[in-house]
Amino acid sequence: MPEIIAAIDEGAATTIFTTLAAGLPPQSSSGSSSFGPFTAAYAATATLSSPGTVDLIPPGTIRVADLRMDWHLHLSLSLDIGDFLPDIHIPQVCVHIPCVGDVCTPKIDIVWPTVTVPIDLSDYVKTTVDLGIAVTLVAGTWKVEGVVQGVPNLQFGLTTAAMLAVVGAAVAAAVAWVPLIGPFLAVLVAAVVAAIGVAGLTGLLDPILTPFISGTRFPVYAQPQLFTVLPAAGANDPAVTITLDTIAAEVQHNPPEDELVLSADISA
Amino acid sequence: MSLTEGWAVFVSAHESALNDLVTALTTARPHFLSYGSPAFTPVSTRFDTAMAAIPFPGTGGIDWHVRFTTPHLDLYKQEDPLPPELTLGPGEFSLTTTVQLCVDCTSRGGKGDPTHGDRAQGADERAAREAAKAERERWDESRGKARNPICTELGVAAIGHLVPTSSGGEPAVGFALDAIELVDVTPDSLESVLECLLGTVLRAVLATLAIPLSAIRVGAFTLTPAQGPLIEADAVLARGSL
Repeated sequence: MPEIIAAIDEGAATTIFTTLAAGLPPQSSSGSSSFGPFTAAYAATATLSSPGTVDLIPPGTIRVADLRMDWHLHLSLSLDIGDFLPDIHIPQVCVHIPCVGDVCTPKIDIVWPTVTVPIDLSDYVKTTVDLGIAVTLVAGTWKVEGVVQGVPNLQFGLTTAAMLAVVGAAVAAAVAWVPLIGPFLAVLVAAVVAAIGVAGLTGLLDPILTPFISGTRFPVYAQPQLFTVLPAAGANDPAVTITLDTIAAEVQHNPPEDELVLSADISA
Repeated sequence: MSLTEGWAVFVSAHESALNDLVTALTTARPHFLSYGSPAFTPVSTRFDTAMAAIPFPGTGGIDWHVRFTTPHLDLYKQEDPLPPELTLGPGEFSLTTTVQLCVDCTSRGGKGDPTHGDRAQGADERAAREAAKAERERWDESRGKARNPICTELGVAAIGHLVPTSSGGEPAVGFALDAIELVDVTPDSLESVLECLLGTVLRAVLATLAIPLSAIRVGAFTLTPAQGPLIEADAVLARGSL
């Protein structure tokens, strides 16, 4: 039987994991990824926030439901308008007018440029994750962490249609300067949004956002092996310490409760 | 049955852990268990707490020293033997320790002292003198100036209960003494006097030995206690909210 036992019920676990989620630092990543038919450079940041509820499942699973992650994604999309609109070549036409001579229309060649479209998307995802319990003693510190197991299924907050509308607006703004684009703008935006589609959007977001949750470690417990009972309080009162010889953690079903139980053996 | 029993947080420490914590405390800060007047303890140190001599007319003050060994705790149910006068009941702890009482017997060695001079001594008296000399040398090694320290050691057993208290501004487990019994002291009236004296001292000593609740939960979670400290099944436990 362990010398020291500390246990919390599921309500306390929910409170603790809410605090832990809020305390995790923002995560970020960057790179390039497929965005429908395009390749887009991206910079992503994400912050975890409150889980809805925590379900303790013996002997070693902490299920965190409705874990919310607020994310922001800055995309840099290289868009070759010519892929969507045909280049326009209007040859020069000359007409001979008596007493005036030849009158020619200008030759018009419109070659659509490639433009960079900055797109900023912000939203949140919710997911349910199962945490395993990892106990380690590294560099003189005992740690108990809840580690996300497997790949969570992300549920996006905003409707995909709304996010595609954001993409369309960004495209429209980015190409507005292109000469003579006006009559073709609506066609271009519609074509780009259609090319990306729902599949393109989720295909972009999933691989970028999932790693922010997969493998996330929630620090449930961290104490130095040489545990301070009382801090030093003057020359005659040095710090009082004990040694944490072992630390263990598990989920126990102690009817009617499921409890997260941390146990320890100590020595003076 | 659940550990938390409707509360958010539960912590418990087996008596072996509680003894480890008390040992850690008294090892790091032995002055909690050791007190003396200037002849024994000129200044407070990590090892000793300096206190005043007992004033008494014509003596210049009676120098004294009290030192307890680290108390050993036994939480109900009883495992450690106790004197028949003490019974460990539910919710109680027993405590065993040894107390060393010393006085600086400055009058000894004078004309009124039977050990004074070169008179032939019996074996017991010689042994007593040797013991006194050894004790004097021990005190000489410290910074005390006790000239003729005379000491005795007594076994002490006591029972008590735990009380909520605070240490350094945070919740702690304190020890309250209910009864004390000295071993092998006669006559009974002397035993009663010493039990009263040592009971008073031991209560004061135990008041300094509060164990922070954070140590009992070794830093896990947080606990605002609402129930406890209780003694159940050889362990101290508490329940409450985060």
